[in-house]
Amino acid sequence: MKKFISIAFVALLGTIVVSTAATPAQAGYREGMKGATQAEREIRWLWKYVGEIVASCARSQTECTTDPEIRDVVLKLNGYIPAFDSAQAGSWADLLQFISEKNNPGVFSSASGEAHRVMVTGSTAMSKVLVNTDRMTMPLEDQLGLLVHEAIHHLGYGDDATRLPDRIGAEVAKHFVKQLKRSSLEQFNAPEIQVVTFDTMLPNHPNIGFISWGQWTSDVDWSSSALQPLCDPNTEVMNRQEISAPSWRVQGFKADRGIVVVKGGGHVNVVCLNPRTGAFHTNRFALGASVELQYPLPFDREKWMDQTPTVRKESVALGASMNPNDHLWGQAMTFTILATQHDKTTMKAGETLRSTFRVRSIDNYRPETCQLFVVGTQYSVITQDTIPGVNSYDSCKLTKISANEWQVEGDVRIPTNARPDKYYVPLIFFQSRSEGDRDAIPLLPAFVTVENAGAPPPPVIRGLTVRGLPAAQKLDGNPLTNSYMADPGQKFEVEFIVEGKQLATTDRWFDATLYLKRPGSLESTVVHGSGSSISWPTVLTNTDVIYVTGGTRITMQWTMPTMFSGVEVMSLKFGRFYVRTFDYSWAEIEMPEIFDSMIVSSKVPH
Amino acid sequence: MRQLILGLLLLSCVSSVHAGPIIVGNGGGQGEYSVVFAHANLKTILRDCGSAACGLDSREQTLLKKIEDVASGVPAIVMKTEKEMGSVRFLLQGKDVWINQDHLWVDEKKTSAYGLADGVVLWIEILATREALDPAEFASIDLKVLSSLKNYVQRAQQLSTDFQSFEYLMWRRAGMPDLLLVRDPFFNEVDVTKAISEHLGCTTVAALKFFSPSLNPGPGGSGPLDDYLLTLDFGVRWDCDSGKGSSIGRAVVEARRQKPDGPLAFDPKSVFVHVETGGIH
Repeated sequence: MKKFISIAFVALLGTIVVSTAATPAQAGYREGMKGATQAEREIRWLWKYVGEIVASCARSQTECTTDPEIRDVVLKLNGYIPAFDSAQAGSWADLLQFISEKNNPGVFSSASGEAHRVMVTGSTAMSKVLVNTDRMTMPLEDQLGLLVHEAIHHLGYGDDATRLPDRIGAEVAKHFVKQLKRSSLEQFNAPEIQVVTFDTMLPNHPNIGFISWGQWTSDVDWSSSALQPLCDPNTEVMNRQEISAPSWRVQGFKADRGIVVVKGGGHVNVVCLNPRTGAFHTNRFALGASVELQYPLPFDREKWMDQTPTVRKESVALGASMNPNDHLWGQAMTFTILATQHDKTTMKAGETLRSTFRVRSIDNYRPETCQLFVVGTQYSVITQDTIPGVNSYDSCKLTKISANEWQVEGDVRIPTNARPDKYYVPLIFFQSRSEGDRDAIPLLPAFVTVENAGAPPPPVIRGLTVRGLPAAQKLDGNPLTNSYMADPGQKFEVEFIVEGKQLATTDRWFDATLYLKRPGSLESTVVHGSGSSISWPTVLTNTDVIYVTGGTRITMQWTMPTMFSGVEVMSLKFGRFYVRTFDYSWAEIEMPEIFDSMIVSSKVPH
Repeated sequence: MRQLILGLLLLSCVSSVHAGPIIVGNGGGQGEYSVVFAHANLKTILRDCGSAACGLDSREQTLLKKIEDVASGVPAIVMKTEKEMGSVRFLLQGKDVWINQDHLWVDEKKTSAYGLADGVVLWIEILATREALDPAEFASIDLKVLSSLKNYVQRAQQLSTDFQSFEYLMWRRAGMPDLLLVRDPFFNEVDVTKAISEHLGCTTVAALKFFSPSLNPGPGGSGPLDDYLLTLDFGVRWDCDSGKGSSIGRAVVEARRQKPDGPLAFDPKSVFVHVETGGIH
């Protein structure tokens, strides 16, 4: 556990680039796409980036069409479609209009009145494109092919017998599919959640992508910025990106609320170029993707995978992560759990559990030490920096079985005050002095039931107060609730009481988000702190943990930050306060709404 | 007269919102597009379909291979209306093929337009006719192609490692297990469907579905020739004679060089697959 905590204390997670709670709908560079349906929002996303996709096709001599007739038109198209971040992007976006064929008979018919078109447009530049909302069921790449088809009409090419617009659309769509990575949460019965990235293969152009489900589609920003530099901002420029599709696993449960947190692992490789020396090098980041799925209550620990969840919108995050812990879900997860055995299926609190695993390494890694973690389903320590364990086993022993297979065996004594719950091992961690760290994460927990009729009631957080600041009413024109205003550098105090017999540890206490100044948008970063002020010494200056009658009082001294990574701070938003206790218990309160529980800077527009 | 009325309707609907008028016929249609897309990708689709995806028997594979072999010389498309070419679906006209754009519907009421599978079957028929092959022989192939391609999920996605492209293909096939393949630049394939079925102890598979495959390079070269480890993670749901379940699976294959600076190719002996079945074993 020491290893993880030391990482968590120093990690400032400045890299979650899309949090739906942090990206109110707006036109431009990064946005929640408009539209009543998922299909409409995704078509709008395609239209926004059709220029990038066509440019990628036009630039590639080998990966896209080599037919001279088609290439000639692709090059013309590349010159016509405005870039997504250009001044003309808004006008381009406005060209799309979604209407129903049933409500507008004839609009989508061909000249003979026979065909029912999916889209129609005019023959001059910047003509409106009408999309038939009754026929939006085609796959994404086919919708792209038809959007390209329509854009070609703007260049004056008609639908003659040779179907040139269709042929070009098909070639661009073929290119799109080749460079596309996509992932859904279908294995968790949530197939509508789609994550898509397209590798533009263009120098200094970030990948493009979206995360989308029934209620929301968010345009993903993979670009380098002052907040999240992907290359050295002083000497390098970004040359290429290669991003994997997320591979989803269960991160943990909040069973009392019916929530399963799933995390997507993978990689974000960024090729950086030093223009002065001409040297390239690759920066390798972990993919940080996370979604909370809401299942029906009461939560069924055995059958939840057969039930249909909804998405907790405020929980969705996707981006390149600089947090080393995110590698646990990506490149470090090279072990597979072949077999799991606990020495009992039901036990009483206070007893010792022995667990044995057979694991296999896929990369010839030779572990020297291991660590087993244990967690319950009602109060997983699920923080946004991804540590899945609540406590480590008291022992962990490795025995080599064959060239790549190992037995992992450990004991853990469950505390006498532990809450009755189903417990499981969420993570097996391996270390080697010469080969670094690796891990194994099971998808399906092998539960052990812990009984404890005499367990104290779970702790509860109450009485959250902010002292020393006046109330704030608005930020950037948005009405605020439970919020306060502070001058940059001003000190204030946050206090809360943890009611319960269990004593709070001195672990971390909060998830907070910084909203930073960026014209027309809120750019956010999630920052984790600890009870001490190691992780954020200039902002969280002191924390007092005082055991009082009936619980624990936690008082934190804050200083309103001014700048973060060179960008002016607009506000500090508290997202969650949480407490772990010494006997495996847990309490938290969440403030997920974006314009709630904020400390806003007095120096920004209100 | 009907066209005139339609034209007036169109102008009244849209004239206020666009630079130029919407042109009747200036529209992307699913049927035409699907036939053109199938045309542009025909050789690849037929190869994939013949190798495993469509579940063809050896006789059917041989027949389809004949079509695949001539697919490079696919005639140029000329779309015509029924008025221009009568009620036939297509006509071979020298180097061109006329396709009846008014027939690119699955149903007579024209509610359901041609999709990719219908487009591929049309091209099989066109090429079989051109090669003077008996269309009746292709009836069973057509049915299997339609059933296999109707609900495809992903055709192929690439992972570029060391300037070489590896890809996986996932095909969702009606009434059959999904097909998941990993392929190296030399078209050596790892049949993940088969390997996972065996791993799960299935001899008869009622359903096998894969979700969200993610192909990633391994944690770096481990061998002296800087070999690569390719890991395909995926969700999987199965129902077969040995049981049913839902979990996450992983297929790992090593790509090796035969000599320094040589090309990377799969080492077939290196394939490892596993599905976590959870619970206590």
